[in-house]
Amino acid sequence: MSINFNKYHWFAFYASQQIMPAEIRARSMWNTDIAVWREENGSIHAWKNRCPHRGMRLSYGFIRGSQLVCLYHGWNYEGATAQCSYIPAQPNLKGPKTACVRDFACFEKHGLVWISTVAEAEKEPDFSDFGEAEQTIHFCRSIFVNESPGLVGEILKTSIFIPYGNDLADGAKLKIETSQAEHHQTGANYQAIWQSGRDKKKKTELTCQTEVRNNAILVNHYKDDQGNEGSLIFALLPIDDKKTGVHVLFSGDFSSQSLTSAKRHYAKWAKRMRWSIENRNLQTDSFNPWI
Amino acid sequence: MSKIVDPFTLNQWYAVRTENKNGPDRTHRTRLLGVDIICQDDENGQVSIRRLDRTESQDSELPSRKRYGLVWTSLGMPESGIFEMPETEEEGRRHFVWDAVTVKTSGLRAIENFLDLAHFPYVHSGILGEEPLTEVTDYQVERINNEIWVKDCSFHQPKAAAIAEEGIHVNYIYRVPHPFVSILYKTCPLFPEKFDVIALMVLPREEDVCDIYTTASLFDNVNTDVEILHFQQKIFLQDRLILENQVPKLLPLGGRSEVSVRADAASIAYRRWLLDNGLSYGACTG
Ligand code: FES
Ligand SMILES: [Fe+2]
Repeated sequence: MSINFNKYHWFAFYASQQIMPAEIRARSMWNTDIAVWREENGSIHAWKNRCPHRGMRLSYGFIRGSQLVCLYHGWNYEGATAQCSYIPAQPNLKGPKTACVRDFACFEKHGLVWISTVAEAEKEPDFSDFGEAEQTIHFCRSIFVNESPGLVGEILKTSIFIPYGNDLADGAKLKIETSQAEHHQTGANYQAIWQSGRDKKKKTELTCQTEVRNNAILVNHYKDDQGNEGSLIFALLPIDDKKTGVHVLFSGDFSSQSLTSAKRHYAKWAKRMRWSIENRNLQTDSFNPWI
Repeated sequence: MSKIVDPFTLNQWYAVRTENKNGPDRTHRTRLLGVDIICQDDENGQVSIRRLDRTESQDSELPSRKRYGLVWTSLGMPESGIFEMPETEEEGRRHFVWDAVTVKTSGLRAIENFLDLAHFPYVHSGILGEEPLTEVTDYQVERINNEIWVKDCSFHQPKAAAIAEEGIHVNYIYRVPHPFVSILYKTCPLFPEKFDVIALMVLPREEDVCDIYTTASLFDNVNTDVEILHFQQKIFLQDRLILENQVPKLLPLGGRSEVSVRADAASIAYRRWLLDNGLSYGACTG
């Protein structure tokens, strides 16, 4: 199944942990500049990043209680309604009805803020197969790739990595001996055999099944021949035609100590992956981030 | 030229350089309404100006004037001379001309921001305004001889000028004699019966990029030139942050995409005046 981006999906917009109470962040989705912000009590909102008064980017404003205050003339907008509630230049005037910011549906799940730009978005992404507890999926990092969302999705479907815990350590020069991928209706299956550059005899075999979920989420179940298994999850964000956000998450059994190093392990891989997508050789069809 | 420039915009005088700033070989290059131009000084300090998109035989020579410490030109046929500012000739004033700062927005947005009182307590907090004194009391807007005049504005300012020691109630008069120029007369903290004059002379390089020249004629016998410059720069940088983050960059004249209230009367009058004069350069229809 190819990755089909359309506006009826929920997209992972921001990592929850990057927006503290009373903070505002902004980035684009489908070329639309969107501000996400938290009230002092932590409630989250996703709004078009433009003040209806004189077009100032709301992300330069500040939060007071449940209100977002625009930096230019201090107009207050109420979190729950996105309606202007106070105009400092005319304290006795009720905010005009038309002074209302465009707001987008949003909710938080698995460490991410999900938003949709249409009211009738499809059902929320389901991660119940990872267990009900929120902590079963760990946020690693978000990276931004200068390539189209469709292409980034296709490449990530069969992208090869070293599972955390495998003793082909980070930084070792690796060579893929064989790799095979087979795309099917709901994702892809692939295998690869790695060879360590230092110790030619040392090999590892990786088997993956990638499943496309809610169109813009790739869930990669992996297993290697050393008994490491788990899932890598890529939640894709279409920034515009030429830029894609990739939120990298993973699941598996980790102690709190190994969790930190697992995050580091996959974060490093993600950076490497971005570099290889942006600098890939268009002639070769198999994708290997270590080439 | 990337876009047909409307006659109202085309037939104006524009400040394109300060009188005393010059590049190597006594030349100065800049851009006016999307056209590259070059100013060349001769030994006597006379400035000749040419547009670089035409050859000499195609009539590349442009008119050149000196006024208010700036060099002015026009790509069109101005109906009259450069606007007058008789107040600046008053005795005892110190005159300042500050070199251009490039701002990535329409010059019209810059003029509108200059005409706005309501942003003082937020953008220039602690200097030109302060919460909770945010109310903009009613003021008068008039059109006189196809200029906009905004009168009877008053605002409490914690530090109205470099020389101000304490908060004062400041009276403002604005005048817009030109789509890309605005002049402000503002109570002088030293002599409350007199006005300081501050003017914004905008050079629209492109529809969405402008160079802003500022001039001032002030009563201030305490601060050094540098201290006054610093005061001005601080305010300017605060406004620039706003100007470069307004969406869209072009000023909407259609009255549909931005909500206005009574405190915006000056901005509404300015937009309507631009529309009535057929201006479209640097503006959009939203
Ligand atoms: S632009 Fe936001 S309050 Fe004026
Ligand atoms: Fe300002």
